Amino acid sequence: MAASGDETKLVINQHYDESLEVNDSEEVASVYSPSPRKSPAPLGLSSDRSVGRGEPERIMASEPSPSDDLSMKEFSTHRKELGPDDKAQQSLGGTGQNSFSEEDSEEDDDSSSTEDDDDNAGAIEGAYDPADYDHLTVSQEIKELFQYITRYTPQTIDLEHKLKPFNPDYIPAVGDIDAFLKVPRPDNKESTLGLSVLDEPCAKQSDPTVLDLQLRSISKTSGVRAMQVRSVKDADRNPKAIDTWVESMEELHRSKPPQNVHYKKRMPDIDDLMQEWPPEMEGLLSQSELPTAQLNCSLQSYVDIVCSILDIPVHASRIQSLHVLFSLYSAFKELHQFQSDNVENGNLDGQPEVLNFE
Amino acid sequence: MRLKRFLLRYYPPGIILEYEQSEQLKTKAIDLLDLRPEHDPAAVAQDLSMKEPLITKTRIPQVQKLVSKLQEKLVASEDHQFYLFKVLRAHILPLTNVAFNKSGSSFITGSYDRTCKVWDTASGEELLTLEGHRNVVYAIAFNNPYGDKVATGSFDKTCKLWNAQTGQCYFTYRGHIAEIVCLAFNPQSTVIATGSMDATAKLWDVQSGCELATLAGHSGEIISLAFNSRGDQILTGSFDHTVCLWDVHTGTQTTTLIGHRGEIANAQFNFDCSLIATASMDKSCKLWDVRTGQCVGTLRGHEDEVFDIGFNSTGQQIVSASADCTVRIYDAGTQRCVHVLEGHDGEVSKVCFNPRGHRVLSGSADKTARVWDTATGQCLQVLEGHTDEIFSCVFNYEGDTVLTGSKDNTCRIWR
Amino acid sequence: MGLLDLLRKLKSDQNKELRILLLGLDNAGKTTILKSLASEEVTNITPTQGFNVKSVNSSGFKLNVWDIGGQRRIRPYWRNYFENSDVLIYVIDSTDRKRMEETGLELEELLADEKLSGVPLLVFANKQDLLQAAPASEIAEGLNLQTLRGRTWQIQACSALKGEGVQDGLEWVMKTVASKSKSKKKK
Repeated sequence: MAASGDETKLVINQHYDESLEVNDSEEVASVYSPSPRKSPAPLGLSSDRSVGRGEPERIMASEPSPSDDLSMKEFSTHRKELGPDDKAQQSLGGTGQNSFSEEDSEEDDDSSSTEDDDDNAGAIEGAYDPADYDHLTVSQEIKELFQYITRYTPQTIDLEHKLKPFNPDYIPAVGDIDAFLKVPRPDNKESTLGLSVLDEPCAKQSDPTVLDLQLRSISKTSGVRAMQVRSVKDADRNPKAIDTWVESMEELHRSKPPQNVHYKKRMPDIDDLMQEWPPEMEGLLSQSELPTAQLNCSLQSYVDIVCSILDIPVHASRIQSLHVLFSLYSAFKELHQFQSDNVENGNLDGQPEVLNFE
Repeated sequence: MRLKRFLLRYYPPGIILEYEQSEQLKTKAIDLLDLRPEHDPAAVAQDLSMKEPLITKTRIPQVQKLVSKLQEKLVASEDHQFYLFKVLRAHILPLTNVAFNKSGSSFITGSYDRTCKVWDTASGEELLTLEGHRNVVYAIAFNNPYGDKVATGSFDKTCKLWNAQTGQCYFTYRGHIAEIVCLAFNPQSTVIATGSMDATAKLWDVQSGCELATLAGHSGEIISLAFNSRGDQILTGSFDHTVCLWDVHTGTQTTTLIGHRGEIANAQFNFDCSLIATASMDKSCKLWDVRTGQCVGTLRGHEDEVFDIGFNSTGQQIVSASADCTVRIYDAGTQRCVHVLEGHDGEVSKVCFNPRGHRVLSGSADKTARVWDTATGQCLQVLEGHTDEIFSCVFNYEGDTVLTGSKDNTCRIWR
Repeated sequence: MGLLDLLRKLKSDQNKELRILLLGLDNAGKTTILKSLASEEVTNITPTQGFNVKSVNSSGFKLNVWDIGGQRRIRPYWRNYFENSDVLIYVIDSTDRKRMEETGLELEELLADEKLSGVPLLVFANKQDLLQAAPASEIAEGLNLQTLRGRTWQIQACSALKGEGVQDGLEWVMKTVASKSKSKKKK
């Protein structure tokens, strides 16, 4: 290939279709090189991996996530071992790289190389330098002891650890209030854990789904966002999770505020409606009965009649007026005194069911 | 960090940088999913250089050339008219599936006659017959892009791995207790996944022949299966009306996509692994966010069961095929139906984009396959000739060859 | 129909769907019987190169009938379709006395298969509309049906072309399956 590197080579049966050698490339500072450690963005969370919208040209993987890196390495290895020309002779053992072991070794290499970089960066400040102590007048025996300082190489102990992402924006959860029982720092410096930085969440976390439902029940703007649905794995073997769920649901329903209705137009206060009728009206009622449901008219007009008798305005929709009517009815029903009153004067007998306040 | 090679990927458009760091060869991919022929390559190269330290100022002219090369590949060349190139009396019983290798130089056919055959595309000659299964060979795959191995899944409950050049059977993977009906290689070609009527999927090691994991969790037959483009997640669609997402490395279930009210027919990832499209017998298709597992949209319009669904290579469009004799193209971003492709006289059971994404191919019970223009929704060609319904149809990577497999025991090459 | 539908018919709902296998030598009239069952036109039927599947509704059941080609070279593949079969229908060309022995051997082999053990057998003595047709009783004797053990069976004379006797056979199938599922429940 020409050193100018403008001629591309066609490649078949690879993840790519052409290749272009770069012979005169300059060294680029690897500070920007993304290593798995420096790009801790969890898989799929990097926002630039969304469907093609936004600015016309987007670098999808300018900071490849660990798996990106991996998959690419995977096939680059593959390419090396499986040149397009000799694949016929290729034995099975050579081609199929075990992805799992591959991954491990690669990562190990990565971490070790980073450590090397650190060493090259120069001696650590305050590190032991034998030259500093040459002038000390001590016996030969002690001086021999000094050698052991340099001879010692610290053991690297691999601690078993599990990294779990803790992302407070992503997992809605409320735990107990931080009791501020903090382990003091070994160096006795003041710790601002829990004050200026977020502490680890407490053990008993609320269920995000339950919390969501609770927030829904108290907020007025419900039904806009999609519901979070949680599933319990191996439900048959996990009755505790189901019990907890049932309990929290019962709790939720208990604490729900009662339903209330907003009328479109102003409706009179129930208390006002419950006032006694003027004496003339009472007198009239003792002589003539209220119209019964047998009245020869449509249900709609009957509702209008009843509402007008009871001073309930009827607007465009009768539903809201009827709601006031029934609220009035239930208010009367709850009024114990009124009930006993009416046992004595049963003059409202024969009233239609809906108006049967007594 | 020193750049060694630029690698160019046509579909979906992308530039892969091969570089050396600490004596190690590494690669990173820059996907240009939104690249359009009308964009200014100089500006694109400039932009890439800003974002990518490996592309230094001196590299910009080269990158600019690469970008224009990618753009050339996106421009529709003069209209390709397909003609019937070869009729292959491939099998003595109906065909099941057909598949190309990446270069399109050879292809494979599976059949009810218990064999899988490897063919040379240019001559239409049979290269190999892969014999050994004791029942229908239903699911077949090349380990693309490498194409040096073939996997076959059979109603005899086993999966076999073959050398695509010699026909030697490397392994027979046993463990399923019912018919294997779908399979796939991961993009790295290290793992085979199989889905079965026994409601499980299994992951198998290509190199050792061992079972790596059993993906159990569905309550119905697994009917479709797909790896994402990174190879770290796998998707299974089932007759139990759900779709499950699994972590390939741990073999554990990460998400269940619940919402369809009928059997799942197919489920696919888009290229950047952010979206999943599912087709169901409930007459709808749905889109799901991979991260949250939430349904982000329902693609309605079909009046009967939906049998197949697919993204184009960049993931910007979706195509679906239905028993209502139509094919529909949707925009993945707006979720609007862009075109209804009408013309088939029978159920449409298979549909796919060509890799460039400007054509759609559909196969139907009306014994024809049709080629459609994705820009206009017009039917460009009716590929007639099969004497029974078409079970499978595919484009090659270049998009200049079509393969149709039919119940009439033949396979046809159209060029 | 498509491949997907074939998979669905492979695993039919045990309670409401039946999987019926239609076998027999080439030219016995399997496809004609299938079309007659599905009330379709029975003219212009060509040798089946693979298989045909049709769904027929009968007394609340959905019958998925698989008609498999009978040519000698594809007979070895009949086994592909044995799994989950509820009823085996074996079709015989009553006029083809020359191949009576051959058809008997094929049937014998079928009945010996483990996957079909206990599956009820209906034999259609087809083409009774032709003069030279052998009567059903003679065919039953020729096939040694009387010696069958551990299997309910029936022979039905029919003419698929004229549509005679096919429905009677189907009724027997429904009756047998109903009583079989009852006895299963008792157990």
